[in-house]
Amino acid sequence: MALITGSPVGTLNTMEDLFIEGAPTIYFQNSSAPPLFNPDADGFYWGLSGTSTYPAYEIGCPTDVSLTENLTMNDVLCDNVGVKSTIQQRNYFEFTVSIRSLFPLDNLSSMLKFGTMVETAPTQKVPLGKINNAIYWHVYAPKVYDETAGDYIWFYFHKAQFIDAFTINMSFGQPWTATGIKMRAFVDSTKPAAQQFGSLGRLDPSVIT
Amino acid sequence: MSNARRGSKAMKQLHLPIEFEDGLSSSKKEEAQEVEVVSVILCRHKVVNVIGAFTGRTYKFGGAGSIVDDVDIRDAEALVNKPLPPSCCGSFPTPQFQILGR
Repeated sequence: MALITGSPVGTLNTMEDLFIEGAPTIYFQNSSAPPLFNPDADGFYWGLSGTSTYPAYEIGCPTDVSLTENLTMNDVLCDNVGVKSTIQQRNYFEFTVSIRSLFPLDNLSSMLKFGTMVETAPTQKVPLGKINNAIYWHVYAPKVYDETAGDYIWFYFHKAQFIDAFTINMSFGQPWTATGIKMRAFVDSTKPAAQQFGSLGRLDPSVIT
Repeated sequence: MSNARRGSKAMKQLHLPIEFEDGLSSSKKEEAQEVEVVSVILCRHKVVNVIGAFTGRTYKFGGAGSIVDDVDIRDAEALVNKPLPPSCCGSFPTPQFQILGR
């Protein structure tokens, strides 16, 4: 219903009465593996296909999930009239997540930047040494927002690193929680310029017809 | 890995150098002489030293995608059928090991 006053005239596009709740499921995979769609019929590179050499990992029991970006912004300042514009460059996207499911250790090792785990039943050992800065990951985060219809959206990033220092909280009466896990997604210069960081998609047959 | 390699390894037969005493039945000789071996690939990012459940042999896998070629098929089947711990959050894990070319 249009407002009595104030509504624009002419063509108008509005937002849907639809809201998304909760965290997506977050998967990652070594970026040496090709994405599932490489590309799809629309020219988009996205999705994961786990292989023996490059298995896909699910981040277990995530909490406090957020996605943000980092920009460089500089105003175009004209000394006679003031700021005429702002030049923006996108530097990276960043997922921040805490996790409460810490096993198996080979999955945790990837997220906390530890070394390659050695398993000889019944023990597993993880070397804690220098960080390998040459490992990059695809990140795929789908979120089903209508479980009856199977409608979902997804974020996909080509080339991310686990960065920054983690903290494992070991509180009495509470599950251990690894906080401060960040996946920073950088430009993949091998991809088309418009999707150098990745892509965002939505599947919803009832709306997208 | 090429399909040709998978196929050839899967069908490879290992003839064990076992000498039999007189009187051993021919069916038992056959059983002991022909033990099928297969190639097994590790599908996890870790180094694994695993003991074969049937033969007691130790198989060493060097990381995700590493292949051990001469795994006794009885050990191999035990490896791929190893129960996995319950998954946390909805997704279903695939086996840690897979037999190639079956």
